[in-house]
Amino acid sequence: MNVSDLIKSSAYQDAQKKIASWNEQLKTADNKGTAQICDEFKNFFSQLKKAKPQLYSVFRGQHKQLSEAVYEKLSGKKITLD
Amino acid sequence: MGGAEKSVDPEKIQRAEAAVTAATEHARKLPFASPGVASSVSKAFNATLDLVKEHGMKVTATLLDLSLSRSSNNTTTSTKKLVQLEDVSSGHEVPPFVMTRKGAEEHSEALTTEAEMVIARNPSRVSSELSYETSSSDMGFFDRNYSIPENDPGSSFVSRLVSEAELVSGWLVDSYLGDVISDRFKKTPPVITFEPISFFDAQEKAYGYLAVGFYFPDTNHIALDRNLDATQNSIADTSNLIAHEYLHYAAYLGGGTEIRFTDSEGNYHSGENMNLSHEGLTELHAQNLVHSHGMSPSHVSYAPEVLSISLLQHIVGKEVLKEAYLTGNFTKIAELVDEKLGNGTFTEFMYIFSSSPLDALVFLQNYGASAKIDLSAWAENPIVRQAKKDLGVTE
Repeated sequence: MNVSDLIKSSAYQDAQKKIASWNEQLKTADNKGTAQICDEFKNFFSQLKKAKPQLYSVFRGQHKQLSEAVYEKLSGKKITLD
Repeated sequence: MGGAEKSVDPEKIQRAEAAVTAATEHARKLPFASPGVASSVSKAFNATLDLVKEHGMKVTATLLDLSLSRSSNNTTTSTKKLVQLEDVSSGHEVPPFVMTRKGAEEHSEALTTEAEMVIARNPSRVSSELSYETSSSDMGFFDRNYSIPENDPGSSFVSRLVSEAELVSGWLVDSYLGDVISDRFKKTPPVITFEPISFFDAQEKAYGYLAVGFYFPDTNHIALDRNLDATQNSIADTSNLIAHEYLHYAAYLGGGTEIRFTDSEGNYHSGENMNLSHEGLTELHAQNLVHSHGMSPSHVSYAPEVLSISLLQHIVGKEVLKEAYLTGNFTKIAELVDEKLGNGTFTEFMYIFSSSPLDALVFLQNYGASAKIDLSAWAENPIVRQAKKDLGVTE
């Protein structure tokens, strides 16, 4: 598969929409809401990693970015996760 | 090399603040929804931006929140303005929190406690799905390609990791970072703590991502998984991980974590939405460094980000991109890209990248093809080939 086909695939588009939604929600979520969002994306990425590990690797950077945002919201500090 | 100290002219700051104050007062006196309000505020804001261009300063918390409402006197009101001019062109000579080894170990303990408190506040949360199993389909060094014995003899691997860290540190300060950042790196060297799996497990349960390495901004503390085992992960892979974390710290010292640029239209850009590109830049430069010393890591982490940034590197040049990466100032990069591919291309690339590195790659490839840029050398780059392999894509 080439990159153009990958980004047009429904699995890719679906994941992108979810990520965009979580990022948007995190902007205004309180602590409880942040924890819930965290559980949602953690569950999603965990299942994606098991079912489609190569597709997961496409979104690893955005997964970790979501977690960094959660960390900053819950702790008040920045972190770089790798 | 970038990152040189620049003094901020206090008079110019005062003039910028006075301009913004005058604009705000003017806005108060104008009738509701007067077109003059936006224009007046915009002029003051642009005057402040001129200072930014001249001194490379970042304007934070400015007049973005101007709200207009009709009062009983039929006058407009505006939110109190706050203009802070920060000189970020020189990076950080010393992090605010410099840790000794003991301090870093205590920091790690405190972070574990904090994570456990976060978990305890939400007892219904899903459990960790930490998996120790080796999987041949795992991609990227930052998957744990090992299984951990029950007695967790992590300490036996640490001495090897310490030696590799010294080696990588030498690569960086001898020639890679340039004089200014090298001096800072040597003056306040990073402190690495090698943490047990329970540390990463707690962070994953609390914050949702299983990591093998942490860099803590505003400090010199890096935490790595002490179970990175050379028998299952090659020295090239562990060296790449160490280089990756060290580069996060070096970029912090040089100002590289604050990506900013002025585009060819004179508009200033900066912000949090550029963090993903910083990760791709860090991994690409770690891979470049390790490859330049004769090693080939078995995987490329953040492969989509690296593919996109490596194409940018191909277009603008390795040394120019490295300078921008380490200092955060991408104005030269914007100039070069726009010169070759058209005005506004770099800005659009960065905007697309913030939500999808792969879409940004396709965007840049298409513009490159239109501009008849030869991409064959980029495609043959072993880092690019490995990244594509890791993603399972052909081109």
